Amino acid sequence: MTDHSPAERAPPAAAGSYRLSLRDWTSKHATELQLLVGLGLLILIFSLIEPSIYPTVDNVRNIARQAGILLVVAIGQMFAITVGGFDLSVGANMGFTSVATAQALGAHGVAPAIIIGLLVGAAIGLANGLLIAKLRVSPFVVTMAMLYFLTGYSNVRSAGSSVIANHPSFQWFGRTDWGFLPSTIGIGLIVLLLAMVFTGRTRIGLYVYGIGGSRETCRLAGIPVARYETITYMITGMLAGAGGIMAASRVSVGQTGLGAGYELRSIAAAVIGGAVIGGGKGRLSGVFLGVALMTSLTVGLGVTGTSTFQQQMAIGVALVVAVLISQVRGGRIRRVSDVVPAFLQLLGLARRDEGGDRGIPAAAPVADPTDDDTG
Amino acid sequence: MTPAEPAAGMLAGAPAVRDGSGDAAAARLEGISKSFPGVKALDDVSLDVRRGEVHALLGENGAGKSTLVKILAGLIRPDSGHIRLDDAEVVFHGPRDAQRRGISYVPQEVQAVPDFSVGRNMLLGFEGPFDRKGKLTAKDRRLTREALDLCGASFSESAMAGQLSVPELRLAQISRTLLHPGDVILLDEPNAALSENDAAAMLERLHTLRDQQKAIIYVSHRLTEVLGIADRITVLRDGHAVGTFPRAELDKDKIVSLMTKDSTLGDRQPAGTVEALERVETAAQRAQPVAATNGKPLLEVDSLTSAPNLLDVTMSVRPGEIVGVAGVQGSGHGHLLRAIAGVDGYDRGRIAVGGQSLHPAVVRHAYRAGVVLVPADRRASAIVPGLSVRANLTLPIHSTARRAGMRRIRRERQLAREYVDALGIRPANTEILAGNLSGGNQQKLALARALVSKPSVLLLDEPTQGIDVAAKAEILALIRQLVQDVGFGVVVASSEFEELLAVTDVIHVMSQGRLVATFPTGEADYERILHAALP
Repeated sequence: MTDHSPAERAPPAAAGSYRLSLRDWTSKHATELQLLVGLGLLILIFSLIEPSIYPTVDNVRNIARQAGILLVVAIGQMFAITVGGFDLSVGANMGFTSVATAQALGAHGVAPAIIIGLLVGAAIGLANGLLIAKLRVSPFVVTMAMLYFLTGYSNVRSAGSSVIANHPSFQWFGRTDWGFLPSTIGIGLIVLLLAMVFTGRTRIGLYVYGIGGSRETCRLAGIPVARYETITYMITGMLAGAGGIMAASRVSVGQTGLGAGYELRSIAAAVIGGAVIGGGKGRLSGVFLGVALMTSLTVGLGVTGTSTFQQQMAIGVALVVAVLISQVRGGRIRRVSDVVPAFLQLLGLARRDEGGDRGIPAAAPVADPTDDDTG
Repeated sequence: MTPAEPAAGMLAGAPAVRDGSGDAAAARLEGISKSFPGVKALDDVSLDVRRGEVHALLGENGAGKSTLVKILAGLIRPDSGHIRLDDAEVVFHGPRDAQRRGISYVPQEVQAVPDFSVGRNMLLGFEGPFDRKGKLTAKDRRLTREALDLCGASFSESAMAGQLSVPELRLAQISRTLLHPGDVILLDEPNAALSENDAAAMLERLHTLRDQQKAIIYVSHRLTEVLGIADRITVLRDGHAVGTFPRAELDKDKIVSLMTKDSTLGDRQPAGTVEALERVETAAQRAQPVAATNGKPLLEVDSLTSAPNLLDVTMSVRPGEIVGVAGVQGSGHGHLLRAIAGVDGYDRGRIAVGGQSLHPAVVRHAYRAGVVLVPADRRASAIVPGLSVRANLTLPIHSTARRAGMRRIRRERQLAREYVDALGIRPANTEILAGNLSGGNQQKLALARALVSKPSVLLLDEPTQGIDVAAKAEILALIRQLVQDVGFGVVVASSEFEELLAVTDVIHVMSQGRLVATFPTGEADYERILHAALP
């Protein structure tokens, strides 16, 4: 056909805006700003309680060390949530990958072990993705089944015990520090950077948000939806695998139980960071701050001598508070009686009202989630 | 009427008792008005229905038929007006109230819990505290069986609803009304999902219900059918009742003119469209006509069949031509576009672009051949509300704003700017969320996204559905102008005939899956299209 470019006959339109105003920027990053405030408050409180321990360089590095692995896994989890599902098998994936990597390390050396570990993680994600996207089994069932299967298989392979992963250069991936920077957070930041490029600059990244936001629209736009959904779970699996390698390096063993709890912690971090179960929304900067908040909270509680059980309770409270704040801001909660329905909607347990039938905006005003790095 | 014992009401000798009340209205609506944001759906409408009578409600899309029926079913509360049952005024706070007062409502969509038996579905809402999901009591079985028999249903009351066909489920829904305590039955387009034969069989059942002294309000698009069954007919237009007539006073022509013309004001277009048409006509005059309409067909559709929605449809589109496909709801005009776009498969026939056949049901293949659909349900299938305008424009699989899978942000911005300006999307900000645009601007965005793919055939399914008059006019003018400028072929499917009259070169009319008439737009008028479109 002839040239379709509409510019040739474009009437001189009123000067539009192609960049966000400061107000729009604030509104777009409101979740992040809230999390920053929350993080600041936490640090302030713990620093007042334990002034000699909490606000020290060593403690910050300790927090960073702990946060690195969760950051890598939570970024992967965010992709699974954004595409419209979630992955309960990331913890089991970490355990399995740690065992596989430790065994490969003994047999083949560091570089092959790392590559094998990442491939194993990706393969697990591929299996999840094929079952979810092609066979349309629910993500809950698929990834929970995968959790059981991998836990068992990993114990079979390791005969139920730990596999030594003790090699000097393997320690660079979780145990030692890169100069000042703990290696886990170093890897975490590299992954964050790559993920930003992925979400903001690649076609797949765009489609993760597109499919999560409106599967039907993408299908009608000719996008092979199942393929991209599968790839997304593969990335989630590979990042969980990376988390498993880091965990193995950190404690110098591969072990089935290394990733226990990461499935829920990664979901919590992503949701605190603004991801919505159901898909279409999820921001890397939010996930980063969600991880920072959760880790600062647990470390802080640990420093003040609170028990692990109480730390779990605190995370539960933090999760609900974070989510309620975002609901209040989104206008979905205006009365106290709106709290429960809004929360159910958020968890995907209740249907969301489409559009502003009752004058309730369907979303925060401005927040294209793919624009983490392009603002 | 005793609300407590649902099943005891109607099946046994009740009609005999009520013989004497034959001419008193079982239900009466008086001066009902209802507004929705931006529209007055009903304005001072009155209606009554007697026992042993079928009262048909006719009108175009948006005339207010469904709203009226839903008010009587307790689903919508009127802004003003009264509802009387057997001369006693009632106020419904919800559908359950209406049900208790003896009103049973069969909605437009066929609904059932697939994993429950037919009997369990029919008794839904009437369960005692110890009724089990899987098992019907002997009494329940007897009652449901009787009702099904009366309606001539051959399937078992213990069959799973999920295994029944749509007509069978519809029959079960209608039988269900016999279990209700009351006498008023509301049927909202009960045969919209049915084939001709099934619809005819269903009409037979209405006679049975009428003989049971039920008071039936029947909403339909199908004139012939209504004329065959109704005792009285009320015609609605733009939320007003044009009048209520005994069946004997009306024929098809009379009804069509009642539905479209205001007898006191002479010819008129439905509200708001006059201005729209003027604006489009001005735009059309501005642009010089292209002489391309004699060229070889760009798109050829040959005997396309996908029963029961498409039956032997043949049509073609030439470059620079805008072809309209008119049809009322359920006529298959939307299915036609979805089949051409590769969204839905079909049984038989051929779709070719530039002589090349397209694969059935492969969207990507259609895209590659230059056939791009702008779907009807904007929010659900034409845009991604949670992505920015710019990201939405970058979505299609073949985009010039990418290289080797990497997005070229600068090119994206430039592209988005071009299209936002060219199509006049407001606010002119490429970074805001698509979901925050108004309906008209979302439609422009959907159009822009289709244009980004540089189509040779553009398919527009209900392009102005649910958007305001000004935006409507703007979009129609835009379509016209794009065709003048670019010379691609366009197919517009719409149930709003006046918009087809405004933009198309030729109009095909579809009814019940078939192309029933074709008019060059110059020779068509609203009434002729409607006449052909109504089955």
